[in-house]
Amino acid sequence: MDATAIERTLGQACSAPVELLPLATCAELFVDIPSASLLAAMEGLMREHDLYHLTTITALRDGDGFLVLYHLWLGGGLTLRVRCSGAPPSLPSVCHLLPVAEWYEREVHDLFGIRFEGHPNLKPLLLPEDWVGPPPMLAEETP
Amino acid sequence: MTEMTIPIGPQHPLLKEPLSIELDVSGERVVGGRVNIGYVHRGIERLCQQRTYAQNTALVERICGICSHAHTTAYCQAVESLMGLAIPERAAYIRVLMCELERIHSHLLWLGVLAEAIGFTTIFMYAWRDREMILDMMEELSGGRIAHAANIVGGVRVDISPEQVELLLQRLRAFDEQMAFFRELIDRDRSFHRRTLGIGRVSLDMVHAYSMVGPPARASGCDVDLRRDAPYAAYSSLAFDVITADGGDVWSRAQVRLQETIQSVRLCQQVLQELPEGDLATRAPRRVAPGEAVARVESPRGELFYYVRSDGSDRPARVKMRTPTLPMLLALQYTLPGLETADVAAVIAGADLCIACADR
Amino acid sequence: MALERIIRWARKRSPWVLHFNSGGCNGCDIEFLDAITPRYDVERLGILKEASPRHADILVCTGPVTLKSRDRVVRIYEQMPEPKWVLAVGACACSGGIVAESYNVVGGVDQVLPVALYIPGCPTRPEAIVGGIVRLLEML
Repeated sequence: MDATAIERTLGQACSAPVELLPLATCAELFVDIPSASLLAAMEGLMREHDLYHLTTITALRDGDGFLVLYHLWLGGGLTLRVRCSGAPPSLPSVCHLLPVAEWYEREVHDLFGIRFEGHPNLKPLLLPEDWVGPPPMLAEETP
Repeated sequence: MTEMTIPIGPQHPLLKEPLSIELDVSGERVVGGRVNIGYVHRGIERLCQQRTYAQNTALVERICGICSHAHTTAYCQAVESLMGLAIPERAAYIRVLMCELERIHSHLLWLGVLAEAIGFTTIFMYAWRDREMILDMMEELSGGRIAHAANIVGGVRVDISPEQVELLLQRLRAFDEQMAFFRELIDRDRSFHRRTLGIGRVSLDMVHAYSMVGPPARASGCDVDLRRDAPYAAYSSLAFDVITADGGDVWSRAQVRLQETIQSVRLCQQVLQELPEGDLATRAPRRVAPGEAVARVESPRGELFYYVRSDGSDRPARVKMRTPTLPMLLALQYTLPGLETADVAAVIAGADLCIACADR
Repeated sequence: MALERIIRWARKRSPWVLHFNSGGCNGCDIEFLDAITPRYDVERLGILKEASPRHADILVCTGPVTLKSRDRVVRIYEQMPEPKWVLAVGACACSGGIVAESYNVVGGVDQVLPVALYIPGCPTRPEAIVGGIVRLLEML
C-alpha cells in the first residue's frame, strides 16, 4: 500500500491536501475526508489503487454528530473517517461503487438512524420491521 | 412456466439457525432471491458498551459457538493494541494453536453439514465423529469443548504441560490418518462430485464485487489470507501454505477447506514442537486511555474485523465487529439466480454461513 | 385402555424432535447435533430429528427469543400436534443467558412457550442433553 500515492489521490478528490495518519496503536492508516468528497475519494481509490474490498462501515457518536468510518483493505488497512451531522443526519450512499455497502449502510441506518442518499433499499436489516423507538445505539446508557 | 416463491426458513431442515431466504423460481430454475437476517440479532455491540473490557471477552466469545476463539482473539488483539500491551511469545503460540484447532473443527463441522444437505448422511456422521478428536484436544487444553475461555486481555489463560504436548502430537497424528478418508472422498467419490462439481460457480470478479472473504473467495482464485498477508499472534514464525483453487464451485470450496485443515494440522504440530517458554499473560490495566484500534483475524470463514474505541474509562466507548458471513450472505442473494432449485441446498451449505456471526 | 397403554409405550420409545434456534450463538445447536452423531447417539433412545413441526413430539429450543423470532417460535409450536413438550437447552433458552438485557431479546423460551424441562449450560454438553431427554421421557 503506497501511502504517498494514496494521499495524492485523496488530496485530488478533496481538492485539499490530506494526511494519512497511522494509528498510534496498530498498523492501520486513518484519514479524515469531508462528507462532500466521499464519493470522489472512493472513485479515486477504485480507479488508481484498485480498491474493491470494503470491510465494513462503522458509525459512532461524536459530540452531537457522528463519525462514520469506511474500513477498506488495499493490501493494508485504510479507514476513511467522515464527519456527519444534520437533522436527520445523512451521507451519500456508496452502493453503486461498492455493492457490499448495501447491507453495511442498512445496518448503520438501523442502529444509528443515519440516512444514505441514493441507497436502493434502506429498510431494516437487523431490527424487526415493526421496531418502535429511537435507533438502539442512540438510547441513553442506563446506569 | 409456473412462477412461485419458495420460502426457506426461518425454520427449515437445511438451516441450523434462523435465516429467511425467499427464492423466486420459474419451473426448476431460480430467477431471484432475497435474504433477510436479524432473527439472531442480540445487540452485542451495545452490550459491549455496558461491560468492562475484561467482561466483554466472555460476551464476544458467545457471538458464535463455532468461531468463538477467533472472536476473542480479534477482540483481545484490538484491546491490547489500545493498551499498548505486547503479549508474551508463549501466549501468542498458544493462541495460534487454539485458532488452528478451531479451524479444523469448523471445517469438519461444515463438511458434515454440506454432506447432510446433499443427502450424504454417512459423511455427516463420519465427519462429526472425527471432529470429536479435535474437541477432546480443545477440552484437554482449556476445559471447554465449544466455549474455551482461552484468551484474556494480555495473553492466554491456558497452559500446556510437556505431557500434554506429547499427548496432543499423538492425537494429531491419529487425526491426520483419519483425514485421508475425506481426501479420498472429495477427490474420487462420484456421488459427491455429481452434487458439487460445477455447481454454484462464482467468478473472481464476483468475489471482488461483493468483497467476499475466506475459503469461498480463495476457491475462486482470490489469493488473500490474513495469516500470511497481515500476520498476527505467532503466524510470522510459522510455515504454512495458503490454499487457493480456481473452480469457484462448491467442490472447489470443499477442496480448499480440506486442504486448509491439513495445513492447520501442520501448524498445530509446529506450535507444539516449537512452543517457547515464558509467561502466559501480561497484566492489563483496568482503564484504557482514549484511542482507537483495529484488529483483523483470519477466522475459519474469512476476515474477521474488530474496531474498538476507548474514552478513558474502564468500558469501551464503541466495539464494532464485522464477521465474514455478512458479505457472503449478500453475495448469496446475488448468486442464487440461475441455479437449479435442486442445487440450492448444496450452494447454501457450501457457503458455510454462520448467521449468529452475521446478526450479532 | 389397552390401546392407551400401547400408544403411551410407543411414544416413550420413539420421541421425534424438532430443533429450532430462536436466536442463539449456535454453541448449543452444535452440541445438540452432536448428540445425534455416533459418539453420543440419541437415536438409540428412538429419537429422530425431524424436518417439520407436524411430525414432532418434542420441540428442542436453543437460544434466547429475539423480537424477530418470537412469532416464529410460537407458530412452530402451534403447528405441532398434541401431545407436545418443549425442551429449553442452554442458558439463553432457559433465561435469556448472557444477552438477557439486550434491546432485541425477549428472554428465555418460557416467555412465549410452556417449557417442560430446562437443561442449563453455556453451551450445554451433549451428555447433559441426552440426560435431559431421558428425564423428559420418564415424565411422559
